[in-house]
Amino acid sequence: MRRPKPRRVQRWDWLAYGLGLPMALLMLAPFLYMVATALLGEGDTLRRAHPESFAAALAAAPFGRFFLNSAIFSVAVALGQVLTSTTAAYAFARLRFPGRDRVFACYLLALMLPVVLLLVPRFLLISALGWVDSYQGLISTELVSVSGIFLLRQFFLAIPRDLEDAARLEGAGEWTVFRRVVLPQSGLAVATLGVLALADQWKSFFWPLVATSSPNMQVLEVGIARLHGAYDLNWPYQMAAATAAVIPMVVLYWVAHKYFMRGIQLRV
Amino acid sequence: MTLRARARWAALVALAAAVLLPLAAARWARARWERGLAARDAAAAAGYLAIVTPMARSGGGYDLPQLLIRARALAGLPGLAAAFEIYDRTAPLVHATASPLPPAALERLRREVAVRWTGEAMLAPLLDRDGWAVVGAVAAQPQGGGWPMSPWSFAALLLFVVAGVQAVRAMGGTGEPWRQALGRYGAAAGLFGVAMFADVRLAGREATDHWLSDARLLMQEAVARVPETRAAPTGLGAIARGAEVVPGDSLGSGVVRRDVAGVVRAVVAVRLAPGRWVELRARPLEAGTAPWLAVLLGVAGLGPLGALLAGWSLATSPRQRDETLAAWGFLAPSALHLLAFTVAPLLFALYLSVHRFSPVEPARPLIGLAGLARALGSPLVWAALGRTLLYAGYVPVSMGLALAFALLLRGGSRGARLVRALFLLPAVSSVVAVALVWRWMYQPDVGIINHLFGQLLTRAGLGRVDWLGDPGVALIAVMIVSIWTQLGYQMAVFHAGLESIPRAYVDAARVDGANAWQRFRRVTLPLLRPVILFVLVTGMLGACQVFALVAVLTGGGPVGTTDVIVYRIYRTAWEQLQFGDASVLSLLLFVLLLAATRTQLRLLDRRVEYA
Repeated sequence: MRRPKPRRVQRWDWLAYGLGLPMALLMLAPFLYMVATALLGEGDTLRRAHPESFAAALAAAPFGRFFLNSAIFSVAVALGQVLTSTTAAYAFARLRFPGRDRVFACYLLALMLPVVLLLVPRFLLISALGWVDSYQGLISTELVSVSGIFLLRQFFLAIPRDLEDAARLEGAGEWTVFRRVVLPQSGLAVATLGVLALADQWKSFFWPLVATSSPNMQVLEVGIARLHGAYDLNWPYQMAAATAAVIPMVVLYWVAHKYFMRGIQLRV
Repeated sequence: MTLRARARWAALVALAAAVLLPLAAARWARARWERGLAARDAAAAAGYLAIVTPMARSGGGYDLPQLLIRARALAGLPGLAAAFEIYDRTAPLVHATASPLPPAALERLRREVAVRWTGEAMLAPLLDRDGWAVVGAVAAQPQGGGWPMSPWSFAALLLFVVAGVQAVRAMGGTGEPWRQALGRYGAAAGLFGVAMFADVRLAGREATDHWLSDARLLMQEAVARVPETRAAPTGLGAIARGAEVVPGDSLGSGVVRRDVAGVVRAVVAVRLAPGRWVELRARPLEAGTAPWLAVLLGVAGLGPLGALLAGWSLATSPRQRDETLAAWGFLAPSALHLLAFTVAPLLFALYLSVHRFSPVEPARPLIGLAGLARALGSPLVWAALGRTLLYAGYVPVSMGLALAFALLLRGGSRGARLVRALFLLPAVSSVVAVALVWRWMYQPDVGIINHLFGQLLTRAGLGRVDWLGDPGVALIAVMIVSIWTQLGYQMAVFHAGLESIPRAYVDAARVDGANAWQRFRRVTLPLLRPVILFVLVTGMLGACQVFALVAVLTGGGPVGTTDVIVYRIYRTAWEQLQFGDASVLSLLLFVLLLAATRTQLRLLDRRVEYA
């Protein structure tokens, strides 16, 4: 039975929009200003569009290369994380083995380690392997995400076991159960993890900063941070670079908004 | 085959692997070092011949009869560790009946001018006096032979095999005898691993020693034959390429290990003339062998591990065994990755933290807790920690705002959803780009913030604010950006939390006549507590590790007022190149974060149960 809405709620709604919309615009304003500066130039020349300045800014650094590096890095890492997370989460959520909870606790402890603590030894590790300034070095350290494992475990725990148990009774092995029964049911969760990993890695700055040195290997985030040093007061250039860096994320967010929200729900 | 027999076989195979793999590894290491020794000896002999052999009167190259004499004398020198063959172009000089050098090999030497392994000997180019043309080659053959392992290792090997066989026989039994047998097996494996490591180390030591004494022998021989070289001993450096030649004193006849400026060096004294000595110093090969210990112990540990697993599989039901095997199969990728890229680096960070370690300095002395003491005594570190805590104060502020907006914008209408989506935009877009935009907006002269709010700020008596340049304001400016980025994310989390609260609770309170505030205070807030705790803890953890925002917005400035701890660590490691100090600071941060998180959880965590 639907409860009739009391009038008070309507008044709340007006308050919500009265405060929420301006606030949302405030959230949006820096982005609009960024695009405006990139396209129009700064200050006095604001009247006239300078799209050629945008193009010039993008020609000031190997942006194509940065894009390619960012794409290779984040897609490879996202794929790797999906692979390692689904399998590990399945083991933690569904299989019984001695020491499971202790092992899981160890995994969670890894989540507590500050990124900066592992930075130096990981750098020395990849430099011992001769992987500094290469895709291997950039990608290899990031292939496992404990938070991804945690997220998928939550999801697996929430879906009913009946189907799996039926498959097991039919004599299916664990791998078959995982491939044929669990994975098809968890498309949403896997996609969520993939999208979140993709976004996380695209934004990742610290490790790529340390693990790469040549412009040829720099990812977009590091590239535009360096550009900022080279064109310190040339704001239209910087804003053009920032716009270029933001657009893929905005597009991803627009297309995969559902998954971002789902990821947040799963974490709570 | 019965289950028991299968388990035994598996354990025996593991034992065989645990015995053979370390032997193979040690053999490989030994062979590699012998080749390295041969390579250096070949280069040394080539350098020696270039010094002592007169040039031909006409044409390029050495005087052939002289070269022949010198070459035969060199090969006949007693005490050299390698067997030599010297080629004039392709013709062998020492053993006239030996097969000539293939022309292709000589061609390749001419092209590459580098020492190369031919399959049985190290081939070094013989250059003419000017070091210009390749006129021949020197082949040095490592003199293998000797025992493949020391008697100690052999004893350890026997012990290991005996303990292994005993453990396999005790398998399937339960309780004390099995555990004891397994314990002995493990201890024997450790002993064997250490013994093999000692062998490897010894092989490295011997290779270094042989090379240095050969170099000394050739140097002294060169000085005896060409007395002019006494005056300029640096000319002899060609014989001992890879070692430092420094003036020194008598050291006795052996090669000794000596601490030179904090680094262990293998040192040998060369007598040039009565009372005149030079020292050859080189990095000893055994100095880099520490990782071998881990490898050898790990491989030797396969035996006891196999026995343990086989014994365990006998003691459990097949169903459980299969499930465990499957589980570890599923876990293997992530577990191995965590071992290699998280646990090992963590241990290495601990190692770094007790050493003075810089990538550009060869000396890495153990300093123990002195690094920690220095970090704790540094006012800069404390200031950075305090600043970080101050900065993290933005988290509760933005949480309050986020909660308020989450409550306001709860509706499921299109508008509310759109607004919520817009809020999340800063959190999902690139951090560096966001920082760049804010830097631009914060500009004191042309930035839009001063442009728009300049009037307001002037009226408030602040004047024109230099947001990122004023030491009093910069941190606050960074915090504002952080609030702007985090607000939407926290709001979305709160929204999800609010949605998951059963409606019936709020409705029941409404029926009981509670007003909006009471419903929030008494029903919603307590039920939201775990979500609030989650946002607070993760938010604080993230805030204490802020890096990219600070790096791009302020670079730690002005006058260090935004120098947060992670930025400080970054600069310690990558600008001052003090990896040891950086590790100390990172570990300190880790401990502080752990303690802070525990405290937060203990203070705020109370179980919430949905009845």
